[in-house]
Amino acid sequence: MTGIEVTGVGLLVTVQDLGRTGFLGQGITTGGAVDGFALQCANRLVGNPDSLAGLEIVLAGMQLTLREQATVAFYGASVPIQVDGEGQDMEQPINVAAGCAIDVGASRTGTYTYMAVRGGIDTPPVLGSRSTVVRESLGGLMGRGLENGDVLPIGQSPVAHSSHHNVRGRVCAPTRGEPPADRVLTLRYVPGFQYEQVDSACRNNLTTETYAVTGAANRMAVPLDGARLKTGLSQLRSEATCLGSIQVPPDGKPIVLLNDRQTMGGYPQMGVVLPADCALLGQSRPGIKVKFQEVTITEAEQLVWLARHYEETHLSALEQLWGVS
Amino acid sequence: MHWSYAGVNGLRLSHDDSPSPAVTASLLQFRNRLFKCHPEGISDCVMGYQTLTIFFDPSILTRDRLVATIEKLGADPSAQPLPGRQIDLPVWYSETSGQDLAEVAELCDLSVEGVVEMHCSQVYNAYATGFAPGFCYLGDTPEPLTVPRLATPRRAVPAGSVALADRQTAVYPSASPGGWRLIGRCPLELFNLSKSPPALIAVGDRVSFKPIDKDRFVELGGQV
Repeated sequence: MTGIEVTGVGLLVTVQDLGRTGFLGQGITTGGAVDGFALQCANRLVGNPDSLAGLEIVLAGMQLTLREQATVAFYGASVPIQVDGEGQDMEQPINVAAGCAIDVGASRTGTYTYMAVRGGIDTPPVLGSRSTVVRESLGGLMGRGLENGDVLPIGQSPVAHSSHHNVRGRVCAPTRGEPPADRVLTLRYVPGFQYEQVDSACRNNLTTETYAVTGAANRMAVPLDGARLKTGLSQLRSEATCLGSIQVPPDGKPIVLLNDRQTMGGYPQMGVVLPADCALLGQSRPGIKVKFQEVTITEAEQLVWLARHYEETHLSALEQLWGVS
Repeated sequence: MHWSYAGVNGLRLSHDDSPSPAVTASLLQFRNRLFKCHPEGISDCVMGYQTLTIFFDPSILTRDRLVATIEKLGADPSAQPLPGRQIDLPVWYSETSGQDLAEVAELCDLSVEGVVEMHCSQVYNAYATGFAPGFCYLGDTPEPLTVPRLATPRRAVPAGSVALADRQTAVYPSASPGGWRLIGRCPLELFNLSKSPPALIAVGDRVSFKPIDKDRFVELGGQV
């Protein structure tokens, strides 16, 4: 017997990689880990390339039984982990013997936790990706969230990363996670789409008002609560949406679109939130306060470059834990 | 035509004219020329009614280079738009297969036969694909067939449903929630992941509807 058997699912657990590209024009959304960086971190900890698929665990944990020996790692929203009853740390490679049970508890902060397994979750790729889009019954394991009794195949161990030194220790880099409850998360965005057409008061309110993440947030979008924005626009022709699009529906409460967004929309869009901020927003629980901050395209490019530089540094450090240089 | 930003890795081209088959054809042609100039680096292109949004991979193609190409191509309108394919879609129109048919007839002050005849009376332009995989926005429907969306969307619309909303018509490729008004069902498979491309209808195609009866619907693979 091989693979990973699912013995319990709290809320929603899906197979995710870094998403699909090239099919937006046919109405097929990107999907992919909401906190893609956290998935990459988990993958590096087990010596995987960034492109391999892991499990995305939403809020309420899961239980698994390994049918073969495997190395796993957890990253993202902070959760308690037990392997055969013994507590384990996140952000560490964990060797698990065949037959052992893994129990992932509910997250303490944040929304999305990622589990990587050495070799990756090896469900069949659909249009170049293993990411699950439940709404479209696409990808992952039969296009749906995991259920009790499912068995997930584990891929072959990557050749280049074969030696395991089992280093234990912590990486001295700040972990990105949910912002503290008493702080306001800044969502930096590049203005665009209908930005120039909306009322100037609306543009002004977008950056001066404080909004809160609502309980309706999911992998598609994060609806926000706060002052209503009056765009003065209605009946637009449908057009493309982006990861991070700030949509303003008729009720005036902005919505930030995430990975499983519909590829087109007819609501006014005022701009696009930077990818790193989208991941932080996705991790944020209901009630977390957010503020929008406008940046120029040049500033945005610098910020994206800095974020990537930070991520690369952090990922290389994690790779050391696996013992690969 | 002018361009603006669609986030850090996107550019949005917007046509100055109102939506029409000619605008669609010219945007499509612009998209094809862009692909030719940059066979790598453009990750996705999404056609809207009068927009073309391009997503690129900045590690392969910089925004400045893409903008330079857009400006160069925009200054050269010489190339002729390509005509789309003609696609005929058989439809079983009935109150069984399209539960809003009678209501649509009433809203439009037409008989049920009149609705069917009018829906089949013209060739539609495929303006855009989105909302769901393979869902294609077709238009414009004849003025008398203009109907509002349902106040509350249905939780489940059967696959193949032919629907109307405003001056648009479409076929739902797979079962999904939906707020358009249903007038019939098409037995053809509009979206199949094992085909390349998966979607039967592409933006720029010319689409017509042909009425069929229930027996023919079943013969063509329709599920009653």
